[in-house]
Amino acid sequence: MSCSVEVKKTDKGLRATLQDELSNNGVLRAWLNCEECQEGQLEQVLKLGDDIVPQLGQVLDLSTKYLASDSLEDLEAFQLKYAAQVARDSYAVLSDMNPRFKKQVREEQFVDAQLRRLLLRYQARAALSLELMGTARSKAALAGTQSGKNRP
Amino acid sequence: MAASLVYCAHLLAQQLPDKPAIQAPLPVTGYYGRFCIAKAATNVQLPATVFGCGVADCCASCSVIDASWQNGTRIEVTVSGAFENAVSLRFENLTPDQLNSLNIPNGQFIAESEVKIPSGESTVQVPRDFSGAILITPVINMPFTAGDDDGEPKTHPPGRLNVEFKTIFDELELGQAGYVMDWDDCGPSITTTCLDAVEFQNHTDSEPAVVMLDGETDFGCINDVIESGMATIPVGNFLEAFSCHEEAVVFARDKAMQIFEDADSLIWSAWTDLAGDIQPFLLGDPRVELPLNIQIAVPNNILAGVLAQAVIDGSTAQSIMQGNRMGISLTGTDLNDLVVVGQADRVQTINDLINPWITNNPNCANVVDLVNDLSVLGGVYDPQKLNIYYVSSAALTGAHFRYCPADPTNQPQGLSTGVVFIGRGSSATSFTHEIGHALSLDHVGMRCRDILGIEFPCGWDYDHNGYKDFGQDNLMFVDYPDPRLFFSIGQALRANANETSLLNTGLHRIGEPTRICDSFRRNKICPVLSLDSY
Repeated sequence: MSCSVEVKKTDKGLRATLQDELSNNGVLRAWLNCEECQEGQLEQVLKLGDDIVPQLGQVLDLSTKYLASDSLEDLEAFQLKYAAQVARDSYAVLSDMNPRFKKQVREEQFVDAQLRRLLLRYQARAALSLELMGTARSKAALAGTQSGKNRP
Repeated sequence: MAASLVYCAHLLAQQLPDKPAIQAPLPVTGYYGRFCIAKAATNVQLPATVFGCGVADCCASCSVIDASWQNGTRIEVTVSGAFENAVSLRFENLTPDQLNSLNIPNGQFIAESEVKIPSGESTVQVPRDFSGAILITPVINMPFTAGDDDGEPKTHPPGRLNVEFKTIFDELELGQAGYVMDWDDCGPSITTTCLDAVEFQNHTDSEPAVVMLDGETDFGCINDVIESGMATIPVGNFLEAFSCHEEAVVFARDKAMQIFEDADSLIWSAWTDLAGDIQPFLLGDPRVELPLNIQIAVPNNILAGVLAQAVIDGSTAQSIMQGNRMGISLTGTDLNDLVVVGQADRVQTINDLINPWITNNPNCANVVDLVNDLSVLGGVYDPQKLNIYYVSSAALTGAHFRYCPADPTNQPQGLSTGVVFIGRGSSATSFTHEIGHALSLDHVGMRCRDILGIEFPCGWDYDHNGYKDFGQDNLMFVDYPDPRLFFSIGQALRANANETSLLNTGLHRIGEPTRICDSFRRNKICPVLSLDSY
C-alpha cells in the first residue's frame, strides 16, 4: 500500500481529517467484528455516509477477491496471515483439550475454514452497509465490486 | 492440636491477602489477562497486535496523509505497574536486516527477534525501508521473584502490569493497543501442611480433576476454595461443621460435574476437627449428554462448505466442553447426524421464515411462533433437542447467531429448547458460544453506554473488586476476534446446575441438584462467575 497524496505534516485541516478517518475506521471495525451485534452498530456506520465508502469498498473488494482463492494461507495479505496464526494457535489448544480433535479435523482444514468465515463476514457486512447506505457513491462501490472493476 | 490450628490459620491467612486497590480504570478495549503467579508458565506469550495496515484499517492507501513508517511513524511503548523489567517484545515479521536496523534506544536484544523493554516509556522506530504492518508479540518474562533477606527467593506479591502501545505520526495518535494483566495469588488456596485431603477415586483421565469446597475451618467459614490434582490433594484442615455451609463440587474432563451438598450424608462424615482426614469423591457418572438437532438449510451451491463448517464446529465444541471440564458431551455433531434440508423450496421456506423473524423480532419475543412455523415443515424442529440451523439468510448478516429460549408457558414441560441460528461468516466457536447461552450463560465483556452515551465496560467485574475477571478468550465474550476457548469453573457450575440451563429444562440432567445462579449472584451456593482453577 502506498499513499498518493503528499501533505505537510503540520497542516491542521488535514490532521483533523485524519483524526476523523481514524475515528470512522474504529466504528467500521466494531461493526465488522461484532458477533451478536448491539443495537446501533450498523447504524453508526451508515451515519458516516460517503466518508466511509472508500473503506467499505476496500473491505468488500479484498474479501471478494480473497474468497476466490484456492489457498488463503498462501496470500500475502497481512491480516489473513495474522488470522491464520490465531487459528493455528486455537487448533493447538483444541488438540490439547481433546486428543481426538486432531483426528476429526485437520489443521489446514480448520485454518482455511476460519479464514473463509472471517472474509465472508467482512464481505457480507461491507456489502450490506453499502446497500443500505444507498448513496450514489455507495451504489457505485457496490456495482464496481460486483462487476470486478474495483478489484485491486 | 491447638498449636496446629493456630499454625494452619496463620498459613491460610497469609494466603488470603487483600486485593490491591484499583490502580487504573478498567480498560474498554485491548487485552486483559488474569494469571496466577505461582502457576504461570516461565514465559507468558500474549496475543500479538498488528501495527500498521490491515484489511479494515485501510491506512495509507485510503488516507489523506502518508502515515507510513517511511514518513516517520513510530510506536511508543509504556510499561507500568508492579513488575520491573518483565516485558519483552517479539517482532514477528521482520527480516534479520530489518531487525538490525530497528531502533529502540532503551531496548536490549535478548533473542534474535526479541527485545527487552524497561519500565517507563520507550520508542520503537521502525526501519524506514519497511512497508506494511508489523506484528508484535509481548512476552512476560517469569518468574516474578525477588530476593529475600535470607537469600531464598520469594514469590512476588500480586499486582497489575500495564503495557500500552501508541502509533504516533507527527504527534498525532494513529492507533493504540493496551494490555492489562493482573498477576494474582493463586486464589484462596489452602494447600498447606495442614493435613486433610480429598481423594479422587476412579479418576483415570490424564488431566487433573478440580474440586470446589465450602466448609468450616478453625478460623471460620470458607467458601469456594478451589484445588486440583490427580488423586490425593491436601486441602488444609476442615472441621466438623456447625455453623458453616458445606459442599463439594467436582469437575473432571471426562465425567459429569458432581455436587455433594448434603451435610448429613456419609460423604461429609469424614471431616473431623483433627487434621489427617481424607475425603473420598467417587468420579462415576459419565458426562451429561446434550442432544443437538443440526439442520443445514442452505442452497446446494454452498452445501458442501457449510457441511464441513458444521462438522468443524461440532468437533470444536466437543473439545471445548471436554477441555474445560464442563461435564457435558454433545450428541448429534457427527457428519452422518447432520440433517440436510435438501429440497430447494424447503430451504427457501426456512430462510424466508427466518429473515423477517430476525428483522422484526430481534429480542426473540416470538420464538414460539417461529418454532410452530418450523414444526409445520415436519421434522425440521425436534422439541427434544437443541435445534441448530445453519442458514444463508441475508438478515443474519448482522446477528449471526441467537439462542432464543422458548416460552415455557407455551411449551409442555421438558420441550422448551429454543433455537440457534448460525449464519455464514460465523467463527468455529460461535456454535459453542450459542450452546453456552442455551446452558444459561450470559455474555461477558459487554460494552455499555450510560444515559449520556458514554461507553463504559460492564459484565467484567463479577467479584466487585475493581478488576476485570475475564479475558477475551472466554467463550461468552461478546465479540470476535477469536480465540475464545475457555469457560470458567463458575460458568461450568451454572451451565450444569442452573434451573434455566437446557440440561435441566430439557430434562437431560435428571435427579441432580439445581440452582438459581445468575451471572452476578454470589452466595454460598453460587460461586462468583469468574471462579476458576487457573
